[in-house]
Amino acid sequence: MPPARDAMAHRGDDDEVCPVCKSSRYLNPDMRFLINPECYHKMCESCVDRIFSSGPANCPVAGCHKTLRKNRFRKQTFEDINVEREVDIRRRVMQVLNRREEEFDSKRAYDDFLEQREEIIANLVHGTDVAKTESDLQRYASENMRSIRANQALEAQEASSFREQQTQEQELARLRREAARQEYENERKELLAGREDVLSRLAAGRPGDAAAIAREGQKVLLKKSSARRSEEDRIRQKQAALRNSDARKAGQGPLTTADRADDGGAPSLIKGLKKIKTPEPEKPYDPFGGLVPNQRDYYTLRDYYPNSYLDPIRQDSRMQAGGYDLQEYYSRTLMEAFAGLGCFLDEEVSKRDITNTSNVSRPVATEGAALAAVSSTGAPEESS
Amino acid sequence: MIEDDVYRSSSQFRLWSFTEASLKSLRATTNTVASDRVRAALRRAQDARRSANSSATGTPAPGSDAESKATEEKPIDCLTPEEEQQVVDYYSEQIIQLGENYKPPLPTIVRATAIQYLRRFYLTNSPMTYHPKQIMPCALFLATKTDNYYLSLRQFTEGVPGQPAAEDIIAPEFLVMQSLRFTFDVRHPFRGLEGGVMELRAISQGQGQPAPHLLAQTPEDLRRGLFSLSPSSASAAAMNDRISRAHHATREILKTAAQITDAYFLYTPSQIWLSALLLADRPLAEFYLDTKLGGPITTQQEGNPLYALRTKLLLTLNNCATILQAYKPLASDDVRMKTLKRIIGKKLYHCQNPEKANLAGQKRIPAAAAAAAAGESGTSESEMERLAKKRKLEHGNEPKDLFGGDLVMQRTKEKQLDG
Amino acid sequence: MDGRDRSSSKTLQPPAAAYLELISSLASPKSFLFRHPPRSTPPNPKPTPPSTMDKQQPSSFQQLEKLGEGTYATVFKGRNRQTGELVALKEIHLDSEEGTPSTAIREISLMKELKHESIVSLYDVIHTENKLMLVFEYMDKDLKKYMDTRGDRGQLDQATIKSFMHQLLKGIAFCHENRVLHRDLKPQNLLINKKGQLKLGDFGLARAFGIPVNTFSNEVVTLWYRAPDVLLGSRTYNTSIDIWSAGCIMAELYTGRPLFPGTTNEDQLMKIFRLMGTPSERSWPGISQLPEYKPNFHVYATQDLGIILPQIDPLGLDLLNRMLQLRPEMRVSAHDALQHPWFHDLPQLQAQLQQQMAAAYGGMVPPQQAY
Repeated sequence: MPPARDAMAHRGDDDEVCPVCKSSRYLNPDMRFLINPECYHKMCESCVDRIFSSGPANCPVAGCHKTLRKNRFRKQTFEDINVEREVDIRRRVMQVLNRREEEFDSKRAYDDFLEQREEIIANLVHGTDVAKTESDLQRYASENMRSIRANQALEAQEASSFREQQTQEQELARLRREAARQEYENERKELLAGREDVLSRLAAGRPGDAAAIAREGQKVLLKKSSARRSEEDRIRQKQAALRNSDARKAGQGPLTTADRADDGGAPSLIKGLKKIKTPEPEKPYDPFGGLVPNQRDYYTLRDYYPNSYLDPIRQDSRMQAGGYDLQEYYSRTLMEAFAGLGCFLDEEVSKRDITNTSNVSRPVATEGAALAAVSSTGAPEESS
Repeated sequence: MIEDDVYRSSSQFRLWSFTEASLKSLRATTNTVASDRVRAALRRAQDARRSANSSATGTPAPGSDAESKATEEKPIDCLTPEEEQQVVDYYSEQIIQLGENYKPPLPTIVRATAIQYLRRFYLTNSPMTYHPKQIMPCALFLATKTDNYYLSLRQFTEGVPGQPAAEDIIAPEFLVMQSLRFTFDVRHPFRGLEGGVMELRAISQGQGQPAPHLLAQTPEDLRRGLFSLSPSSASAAAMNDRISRAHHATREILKTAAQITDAYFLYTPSQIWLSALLLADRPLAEFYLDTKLGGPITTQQEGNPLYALRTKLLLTLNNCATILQAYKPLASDDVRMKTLKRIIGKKLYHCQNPEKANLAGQKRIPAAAAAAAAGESGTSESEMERLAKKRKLEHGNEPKDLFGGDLVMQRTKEKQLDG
Repeated sequence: MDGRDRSSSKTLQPPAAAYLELISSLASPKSFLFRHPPRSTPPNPKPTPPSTMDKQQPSSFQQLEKLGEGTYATVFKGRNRQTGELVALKEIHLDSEEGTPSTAIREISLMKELKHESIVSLYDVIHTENKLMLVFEYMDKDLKKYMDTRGDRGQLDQATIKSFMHQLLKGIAFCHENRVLHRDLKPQNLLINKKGQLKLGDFGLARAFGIPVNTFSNEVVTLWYRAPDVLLGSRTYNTSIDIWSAGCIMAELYTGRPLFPGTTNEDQLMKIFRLMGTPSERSWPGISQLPEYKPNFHVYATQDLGIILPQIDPLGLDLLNRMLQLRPEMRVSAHDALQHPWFHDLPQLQAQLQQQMAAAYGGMVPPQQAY
């Protein structure tokens, strides 16, 4: 359980004293405080080193029995420990419940989802219904592993493409600025040249033409700048179109619908997801068709099994050098230990017999007889 | 469960798994079909003999009619499905014995495969059609090939009592292969047992790994659970002994009871070895299952799929254990041996299908004849000669004892003389 | 019998359907490993194979030209007289003193268990007077012939190489997952059809593995594709030998020539060491205890594979290096190889391949005409 809210509300001068070893910043100005997201009890760095260096241990704060690991201690980002905790919880929940708007039937369903997510976060933050909420979340996470991963990948991709786009945009802006500066420079030069031209023509020409020459000079400049402006418009439009198509592409992410099966079973946590989507033309490469290789249901393979029968093999470096891999033995024996444990033949076979009457009990007999008949070419026909 | 799908893809599951009812009806059908054929074949043989007699002696036709009626009134006594099964069980045991004749003895797995071949063969064939004495060595030889235990046919033949001709051993090979529907891969429970014992030992040394759906277990929990089993033994050495004893006892059950019963047809290999472990050391087996499927107390039982699976599985394992426990070796049972001698020695002798008795001859003669007709006289003549010699050899022997000796029977001889 | 009804429904697929199948089979490995279409009902695959139970007489197949000589048999092209479907007939001679050769039995046994899109299907087994006939799914060519007739001096294009390697590794992964070593992977044993599918064939040398007490024969795998551990006399080799062969095949797909065309065991080892470097007890602990190890092996330094394979991209080179590790333990598994980033652009390449195929077929064969 997190520390009670009130206790954390008036921390005040506690900032200066480590609640565990009571050493104060007054004596040790370099003191740094760390927290562990397991319970958020604050303690100083040297306490963490002292208590957790030799492995996981209980939190030293009285009444807190959480087991903490050193590698999970970190500096506080927010001054208020409650904010820190909420941000952590939020991050964790968002990582799991990472459905995207385009996965929902309607805007309404997506909003409902967002609300539901907020409720879950709030539950966890305020400690209401924690057990149920956590188990719901766990179940959802295990059932929707694929789409969660896909969406995470999508997010990461978007983030990186966003970054890319930003740098690209910055680059474009720089180029635009450069071009504008150049333009301005040219314009100024033209203006000067134009003026000189007008002056020289005025100097050379008849006095009556003066007004006409000045008007002409203005017109040329105006034409040039308006041409430039329409060119700029065109570029801007082009860029906008590009951006739109980018956005569309991003939206076409790999929406895996495989694990969104609402077929019976437990009601799923999130409602209003689109049911079936036409398969995307380009799926991400998935060598195992969505299967996790080496996943098992009855056992978890270890790297080593104590077994005196196998010790001679383990010690036989010649066998190892020759390519023998005991891991293969482990995985084969354990696979055979459990392959079919949950196949109940009395049920499955009779079901099969019903669905496929033409193949099991009765016909096997005649088939067998037929086989016997075919077997030796000279034998009389038995199955007739 | 992923492991179960692996098993479902095997030919053993697809073709050789049954319910008790479907197994029974299949055997009954095989028996009925075979009995009808035996009767028809014997009648044909008699008719042939009679017509030969009548043409030779000139006996008037009405007389022969009366005679045929008389034989029809006295029906041929065929084996019942139960008797057939006893015969097959007996020859299954014989395979275990036969395996001992070799130096070194044939591996358990080869013998077990052969036994399953024999049992699968006799699901769709009757001992009345093909005598098990002929099929049994062939099944064993086939098993040496499929289980990568190489023996030459000559080496193999030397181990078979009665020193039959090598050709006779392999004569029914194709018949056997075909009846097995060309599926030679038998999934045995032996290696699974090794895996289970390996995990139990790891648990006993505090190196247990939690099951994928019960991640809360720690190696220490598992170890403590194992050591708190009754009768509780405090020392690691005692636990090691206990596991070894259970391992050994289970293996013995798998080598015998699991082979000679219908266990392979009705249960999966992992169910079989766990049932055998239940018989060998029930608390140990139940503890092991609990580590996989959760104990009855620790998990929420309502709607928990693991709990439902556990309940169903325990029922299945107990049924399988009952079958395994009921097995008694035939050889140690004088009363049953006596009945069996009567069945095999008398009844089977009289209801053996005469048209199927000489497999080697039947198989080869047409082939040789066809070859001769095609003009490949060079090879076929020598083939004919060889076959003729072999048949002469076969016919020279009379059946001496009950199970040894040659297979060729009086009837075959009669038939060949007549036909 | 029902065999007639079932088989009559099977007709030759028009090429248009074939492209679709190609694409779906390449882009979505839908039945990888164990999630096949459920097995609880007896399989009734689309091109319904004439099954053993149908009392198929050998005469129901018309024997056409000879396709090749297998390890223990002759292979003919055949045609189902009833359906016109093409098949490969593998004829095994039974005149052996030992009855049916154990290679044939082993092949039948494994093929009955291994049903996978990257493994050639066994439809049926037929017995005639003194021979055994295995009826296999028909494939147009083996990879060797395919390379000879296509590409630039046997070299194939990127997209095809990647697609073939992917299918090869999928087939290998499936075998290994089922505890089967193929033990004879070489271009001649990889079969290609018009749909661009590649399938593993000839399981005559394959066998199950994983039992510590058993040791294997080292007379396996055609010399050129034989792993160094096998060449050094190991009898405890494992799945990694198939990976070595796959690596050799990958290089060959790029160059059109075998990577290590040795003449003898010794020569083969030297050809390997010249490129991959001579291993030592340090790089390969225990190597000196292998039967064929000689302490006076000429010491070569490791070469960069990229030099002899200039066509290969860096990712492909990385995968190849992982497959061609001298020390068996270090070789990548088929599973991990399939996850290699080199394959990540496979879906795009396949789209490209699809267009190529469509163009090729569209030009040569009018879609409505089913040869």
